[in-house]
Amino acid sequence: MVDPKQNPNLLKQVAFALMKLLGGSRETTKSHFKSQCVPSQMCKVSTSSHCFEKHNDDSESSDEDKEKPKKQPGKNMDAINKLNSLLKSMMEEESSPTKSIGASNIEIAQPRIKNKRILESKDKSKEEVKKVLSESEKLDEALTSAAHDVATSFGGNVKQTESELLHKLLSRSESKPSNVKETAKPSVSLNELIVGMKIDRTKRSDAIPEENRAGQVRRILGTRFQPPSREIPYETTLEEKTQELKRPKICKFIGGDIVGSKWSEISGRAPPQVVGRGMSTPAVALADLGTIRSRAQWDTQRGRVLIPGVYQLAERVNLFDSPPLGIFQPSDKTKPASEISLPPELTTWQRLHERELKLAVTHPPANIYEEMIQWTEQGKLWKFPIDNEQGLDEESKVFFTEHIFLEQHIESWCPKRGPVRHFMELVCVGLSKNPYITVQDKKDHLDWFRQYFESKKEILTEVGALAGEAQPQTSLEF
Amino acid sequence: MRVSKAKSEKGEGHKEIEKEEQGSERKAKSTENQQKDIKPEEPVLRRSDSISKPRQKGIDPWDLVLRRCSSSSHLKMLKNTVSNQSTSKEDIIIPKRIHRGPTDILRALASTVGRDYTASHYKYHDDPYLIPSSNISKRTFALSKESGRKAAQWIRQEHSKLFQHRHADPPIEAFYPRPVYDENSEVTEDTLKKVIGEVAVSDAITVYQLLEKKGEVVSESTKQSFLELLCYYNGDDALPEDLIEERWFRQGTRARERQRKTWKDNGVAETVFRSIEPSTSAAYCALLQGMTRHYQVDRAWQLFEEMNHKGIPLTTEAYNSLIRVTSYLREGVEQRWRLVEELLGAMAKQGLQPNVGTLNSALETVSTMGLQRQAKTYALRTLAEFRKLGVEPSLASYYFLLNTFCKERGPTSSILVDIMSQINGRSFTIQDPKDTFFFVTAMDLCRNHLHDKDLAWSVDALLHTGNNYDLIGDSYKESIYYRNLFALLCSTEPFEVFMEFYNKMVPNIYIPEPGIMEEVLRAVDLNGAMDQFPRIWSDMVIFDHTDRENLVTDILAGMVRNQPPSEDLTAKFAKVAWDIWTKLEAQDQERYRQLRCTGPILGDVMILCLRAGDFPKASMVLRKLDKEQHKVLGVPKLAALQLFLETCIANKDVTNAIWCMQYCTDAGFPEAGQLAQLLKDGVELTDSQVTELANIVGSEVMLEKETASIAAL
Repeated sequence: MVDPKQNPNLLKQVAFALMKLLGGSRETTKSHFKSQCVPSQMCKVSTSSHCFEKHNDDSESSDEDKEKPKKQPGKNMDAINKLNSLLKSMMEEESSPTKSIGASNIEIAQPRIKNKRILESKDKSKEEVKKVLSESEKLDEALTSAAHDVATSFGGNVKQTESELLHKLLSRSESKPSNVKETAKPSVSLNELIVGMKIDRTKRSDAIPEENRAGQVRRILGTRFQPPSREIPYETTLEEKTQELKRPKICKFIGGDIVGSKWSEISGRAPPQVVGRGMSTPAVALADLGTIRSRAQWDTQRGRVLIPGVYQLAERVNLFDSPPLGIFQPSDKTKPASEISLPPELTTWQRLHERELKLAVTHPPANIYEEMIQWTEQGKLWKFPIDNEQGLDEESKVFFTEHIFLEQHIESWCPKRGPVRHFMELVCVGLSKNPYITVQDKKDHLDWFRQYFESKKEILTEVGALAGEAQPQTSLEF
Repeated sequence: MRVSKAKSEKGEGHKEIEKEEQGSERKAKSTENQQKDIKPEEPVLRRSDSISKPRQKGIDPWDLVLRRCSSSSHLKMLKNTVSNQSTSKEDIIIPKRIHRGPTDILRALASTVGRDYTASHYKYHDDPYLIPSSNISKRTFALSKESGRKAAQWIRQEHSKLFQHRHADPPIEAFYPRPVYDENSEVTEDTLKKVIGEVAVSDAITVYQLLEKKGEVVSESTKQSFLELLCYYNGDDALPEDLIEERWFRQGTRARERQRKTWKDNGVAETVFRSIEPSTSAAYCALLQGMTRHYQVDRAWQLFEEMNHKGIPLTTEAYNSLIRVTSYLREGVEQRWRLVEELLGAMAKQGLQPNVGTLNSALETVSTMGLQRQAKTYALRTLAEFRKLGVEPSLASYYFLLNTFCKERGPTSSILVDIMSQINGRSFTIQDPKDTFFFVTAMDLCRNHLHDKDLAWSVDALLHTGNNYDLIGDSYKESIYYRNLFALLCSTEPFEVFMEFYNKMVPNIYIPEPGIMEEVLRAVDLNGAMDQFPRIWSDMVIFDHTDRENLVTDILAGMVRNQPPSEDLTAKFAKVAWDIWTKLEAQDQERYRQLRCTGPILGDVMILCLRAGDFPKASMVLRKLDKEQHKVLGVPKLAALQLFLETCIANKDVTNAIWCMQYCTDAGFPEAGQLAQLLKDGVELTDSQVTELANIVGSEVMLEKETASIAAL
């Protein structure tokens, strides 16, 4: 077993290899790799390379799915083991029959060439498309033949359909840059960039022969790499399950198989901002990165790759199981309240705070009832259950008898009988039936009559209205 | 069965039964004759033994009378109860009366009304013309309604004399103009109390100053209350309570703005504070809390030291507010944390019990500590400490935890998973103003940090538990929440599932922003769900996205890439393309935001028209390309021109073909020669036409090709 901690040199080499594979994002990867040689962090590097690897597999052949599980990094796996076995699997890949042919010793990563070529081909004439097709045939038999099959099964213009299929497959790298516009500066689409470019085809034509990735790794590592002593079983991760879920059910129209294999990349698309951050690269690097970005959430700023489910590797946190600070003692009720010098509560402050909290959760009413609640709280509506004495606080203190039995208030001055008495009794009856004025008002009313009759006493005696008052024995004192 | 019976009888039934029981016991002693009657009541007797032993005194004649009067009907009721009760000999527990508030009935009714996803929000006028269909119109309509309300209030205030008639008794204060206080107003201390109660800060200041001028003595408690009001709002007026829409649409950026010092030094608050003699603990605390609330941290700290020096105790809230601003008081993680610990220690020493506010303040400070590893330890230890004390964290605590663990540049942390497993299915009430930040942050992390759709669904489920939706915050947070949710689902869920969600939420709950629309378009494109294109386009039209160049380019490119097999869809695509063309043509030149006329857009329109067999429209597009080259940005794709040419060849339309060739050369396509060759091979050309073609593409090209073809032969 190789311990990366003890063998920094090897680690550097591996990092270098991975960097090469990853193309444009060299600096970040390197620094990330170097700074994070702690084993627990290593998983991220291996994850990124893992993703990259998967991407290559996908583009190399469409029937690689069965190989994936082997390469999924296990959740609880030791990071070093992971890296080692990853590299090992890279080496094994060469022997895989489905791999592309013609490994040689020139050191440019495969997807880079392929991608660039086909991208460039987009705006060329039909002949050019054909040419590229023939080129890519060399590179990628599986893909092209699949496209060809589909195209022929369509009938009609076979060549055009075929080119469109390939175009479609590569449409990701084209559509990606436009993604950036929303968050980053308005950038030109890849198309526009390439339109104005002069294309040097001569260099391209002596196409650098392919080198298998495994070959590269082997070459770089040389003999130093010791394969792990035993095979490590990889457990399938959540990612895989989700990937399977994500396979589209409809790929009816165009190249079901191919679109299907493309799907894994689609599903792992980066959110626009994340991609946006890495977009300052020039167009060429952009083309290089296109494929990588499409495979994984390549976040150059954070220097890590986001794939659904992979975060499960991150440590779980037990929220409440840490040692407490030990500053406070759980409230001891034994201590009498008087001993604690509790300062007075700020009541107004408390009320305002509660008001703010309440307003923070008061949203526009979503139905008439909620609106009625608001109106009720603002005092605009009768409170439920309806009470027609709502708000009559003063009146509620007065018993009803005081409203009704008013004769007691005239007893003191009114003659026992006669027209005045008659009149006043009628006034009392009338007042007792009036619900709109208060008891005090009624008393004042009666008092007014008392004063009135007092002032008219002389006339009253003259006409004999008080005459019936035989003996002023009691209260009639005026 | 038993339960429901008991319930239905609990009104009168129980009272009667109790009386029966008492009566029957007494009778059991008094007369045998009656005992026959009450035989079936035996279980009741046994039961009542336990409850009414102390009441076994003499016979109450009143009870007997009652018993005789209504024995028949009561007996029946009793028998029912008895047969039900005989199996279980439990006490009947008469529930206490539940006090119902004035809005309880309404709340119960409101809880029966769910969200109708097919209708616009209640606040909008239910009229097709007035239902908003884009984010801007949603905002405009809602705020217009409220500003109408505001205008009415303004009129009422300006002409307050006209609105003094008091019809209602008791009068509805909300309908009357607010009293204006000036130099001539008659004010007393009660007036001051009243305006403080109404949270009218500027009125309170005026009244207080009037009182001072008149030389009236204001009691200490009112002064304290006034000081608290001033400190809480920093002497500024608060947003009136009834402006709900304004509060809802106020941008979330305000919170960030408030991070700087806003405290009014030597303002009214400090004058009032000085006027309270002798300075009480409450006055000190109010001023301290006011200063920390408005980020006058240095003077707050001075005040704290002064209080310590004088031995004045602090309230829990005052400590909380100090802990919250620790990050402004000290530099460096270690020092800050030490200060937090010191303050907590001081609280403990004073015998104060910390509350959830203390927890949140401490966690807020920890969350500002950056990427330090210790920050996480501190956060977890604080959480454990408060758990030990029995203080349950609120959503704000979890929000600060998320902030501590998931940093923009830090390593990925899955703490949200652990938090969700803690709080799943719980209903929350607001306890801290920051509680409303939880959901939007959690969803943001689901999308950008963890990229986990299952987690996102569980966050969404939590949001829809109980009244948790109240804690979404405001419209700004809500739309960010849905933006993240949509973007995440769009990239992780199968397309059909996503579209189902899309159909449910759009447009009444959420209207996708252009960025999300782009994601949706891409998803449609990559899934080959070409039948969705026309629908997405119509959504784009409704949501006012048609002036976004990137969206228009995307949808056209998508439709070009996904050539539909059916005539029907091809025709629809052509219709969409032509719609875009019309919009381009009919653009108001004065408008600020314009859809620029670019080559690729026009080229794609051309292709789509040609596919639908509409040659005249395609040639219109080409004419625009040709005639307005100065206006059109860039050139169309070659495929568009090639298709045009091929159509011309198929139609034997040499004139248009040569025109197209002319354009190809003008636009500087290097492949013009090859196209010319194509034309030459495709149609029989007259000599003049050959010359013309040669003039266009250059004779050497023609010749070269000819020789090449001859050589090839």
